[in-house]
Amino acid sequence: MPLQEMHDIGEPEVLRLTDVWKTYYGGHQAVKGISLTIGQGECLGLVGESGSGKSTLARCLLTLERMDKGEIWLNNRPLHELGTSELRNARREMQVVFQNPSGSFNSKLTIKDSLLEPIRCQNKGCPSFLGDTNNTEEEIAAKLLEKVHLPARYLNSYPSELSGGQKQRVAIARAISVEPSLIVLDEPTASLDVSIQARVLNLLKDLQEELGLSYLFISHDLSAVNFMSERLMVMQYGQMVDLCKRKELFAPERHPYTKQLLELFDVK
Amino acid sequence: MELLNVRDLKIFCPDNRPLVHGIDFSIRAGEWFALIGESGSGKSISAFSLAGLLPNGLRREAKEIQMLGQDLASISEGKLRDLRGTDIAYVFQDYQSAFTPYFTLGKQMDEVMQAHRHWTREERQKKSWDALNEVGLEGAEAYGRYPFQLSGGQLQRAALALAMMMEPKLLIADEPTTALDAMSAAKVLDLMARLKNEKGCAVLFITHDLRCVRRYADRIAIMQNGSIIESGEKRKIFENPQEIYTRNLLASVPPLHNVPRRLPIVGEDFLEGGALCAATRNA
Amino acid sequence: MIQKTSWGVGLTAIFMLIILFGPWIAPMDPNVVDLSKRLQLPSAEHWLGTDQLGRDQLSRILTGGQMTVGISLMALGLSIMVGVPIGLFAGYLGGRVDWALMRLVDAFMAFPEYIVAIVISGLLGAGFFNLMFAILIVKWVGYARLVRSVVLQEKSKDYLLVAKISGAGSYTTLRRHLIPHVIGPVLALATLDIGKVILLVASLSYIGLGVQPPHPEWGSMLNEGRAYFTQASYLMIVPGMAIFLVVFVMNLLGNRLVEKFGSDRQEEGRDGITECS
Repeated sequence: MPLQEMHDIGEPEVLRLTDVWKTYYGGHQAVKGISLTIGQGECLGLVGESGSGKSTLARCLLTLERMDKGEIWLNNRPLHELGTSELRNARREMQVVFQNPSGSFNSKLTIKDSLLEPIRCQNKGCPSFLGDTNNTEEEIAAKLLEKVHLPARYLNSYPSELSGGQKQRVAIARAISVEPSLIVLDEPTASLDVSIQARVLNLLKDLQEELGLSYLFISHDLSAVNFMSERLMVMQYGQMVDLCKRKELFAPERHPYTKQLLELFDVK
Repeated sequence: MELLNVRDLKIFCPDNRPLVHGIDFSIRAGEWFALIGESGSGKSISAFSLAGLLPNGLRREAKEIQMLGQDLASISEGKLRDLRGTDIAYVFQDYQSAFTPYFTLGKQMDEVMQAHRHWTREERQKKSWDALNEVGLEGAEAYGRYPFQLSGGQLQRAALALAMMMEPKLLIADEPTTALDAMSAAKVLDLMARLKNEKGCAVLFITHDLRCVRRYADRIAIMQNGSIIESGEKRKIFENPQEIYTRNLLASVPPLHNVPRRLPIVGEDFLEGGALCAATRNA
Repeated sequence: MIQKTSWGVGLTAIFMLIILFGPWIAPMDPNVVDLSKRLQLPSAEHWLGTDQLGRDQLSRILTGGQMTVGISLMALGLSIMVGVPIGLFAGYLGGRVDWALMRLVDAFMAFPEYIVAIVISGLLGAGFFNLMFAILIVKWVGYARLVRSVVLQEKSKDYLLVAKISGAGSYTTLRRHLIPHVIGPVLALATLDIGKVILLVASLSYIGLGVQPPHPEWGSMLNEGRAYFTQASYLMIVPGMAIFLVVFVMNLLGNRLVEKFGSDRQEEGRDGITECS
């Protein structure tokens, strides 16, 4: 049963999901009646283990999969009702960073071409946060890399020449380049080394503050989710079993599953 | 009592580039020793090299690898083979690779026992059942199952059963829980701690995740770029880390209480990557 | 390794130039009949001797080469132009389109190449265009399957999802993302195939289908030389050697390319903590 939404004070809503259901061919119910909202400038954390349905939910949200039932409102536009070409336009207000940095890039394209793809597809110019608008593509790409602390010389490299952490940063730069209303981060640090993870998390937080981004941060790592998000959602077997603010994480009314996870991740 | 004493272990790439630059460490009997490092640190190949399991082309050199009165660096391949699976057991990150998919678990456990001991069929079956029961699987049932019928966590526990079956003195576990979700990982780690205490076997635990280390390790060593930069008692290092790298590792795990605005990492931002060569890449 | 490749490419390039510009290099008109000069052994005037009608063998080889290799290249080019798009659509669109196209591929692959080529050629009759058509029928499936498998492999990757979200349409995706992956393997396969197609063309001409006299062509030259094998074996040996050399060189180049583009896929190592180190 979907829990009531606790929505924070007066922020405009960026995303609202209502009662999303998704069953796979063969009968496996991956997502069972999930509802959530994300406010402007907020990071909502989604914790779940493998099989919880969190990745399926992300794909439904991004309209990469068709839901069986439910509503997706992105900036008050009903994505679930749009036809293919309208959807293509509406979807542009979202961006995504996936778990596997290698798969996120076409091995045959340079970093520059991959980085500029969203801007080129959408015929957008220089993103406003980079300052003056008379930049060439080369300059825009270089400045984007700078935002994620990568030197411009990587523009002409191929993905195989960069490490996982570096690729993931380019993925983040690519995501912010079109100033999306929402960025979905699906286990963005899971494949990375521990200290690189920490740097990427710091980077994500810095960017969120600087640019007022809204995130849906999905991970099995409760400590990472807790670090990034003011509100957390816990999923198990396709259902949302808990939803709380960060400061209420250790409150006694938490769901038993949440408490179990807390015990595992809370190191003394 | 010292179980394993490694002195000046070096490992080289096929083109003679050094991957591990002469490390020293020792493991006492019955202790949990954690070797911590990120990718490119050389932790996994160091552990593999102990029983001669390096991938093709990598070369090992060591002044001494003393274990139970034998120098593993200089004994014959035959003797080394005897040790593997009996005194030294391995558990890997990829639990799928512990078993071949074509035979049941029981048959594979049987095979291992046949290779090393002369027990009768009934004895072997009983031992298998007991080992599986000890790791929390239904012995009689799991015995007849195929690997694909078990979940990741169950399979890793079965791999542990296989490893512990021959009562090893040293269990080398290479990131055994990295590919598992938190619940299964916790079960496997608890299990390993319990088995270690019951059987008195030492554990060489390789990981990048400090959380496992915090709970279970006795002594730890931290590797970076092929060298051990800091080692000692776990408490001491966690409370008073000397090296910047160690401090960064500790700071990398976001705490659940008192969440900081930023994780306090120090140092170069985008210099990453370690010393890898083609041989280790696809190993 | 790199040296070998440029040697191979260089050698092939020289070869191909000689072959394709053959008719202009040829010292004499290959069709001039002079019965007084029949079956002469190689001499200063006729470097490779003359055939049963007194025609200069060398000129015939050079002119015939253009025919043999030229037809092969054109037929291969046609096969690629048909096979690659089919493979792209099947792989990219998936579902029923993929199913239908693959059943078509299965149907075409059910019969051995040579049998189909002979049957088609036989039905349509000899001649230039019929020969090309027969080869097209036989060869397009290889490219369709190759391209489809490349597309399927890439389809599983996340970057296509990112492109979709960013608003890239199907055409843009195919052009910008998938085609670069397809070029290498197709080139490698084509280079290996050239040898086979040359043999196919020569074989068909040898049995009388395909290129008709008086046009010189290596396969038909082989055929014509058969009757005189005991008297003037060089009439068969020379075109035979020519076919052998070209196929051999193309195969070497093809193998090198296959190595290069095959290993492309393994380049992307695994990242971070799953690497063994």
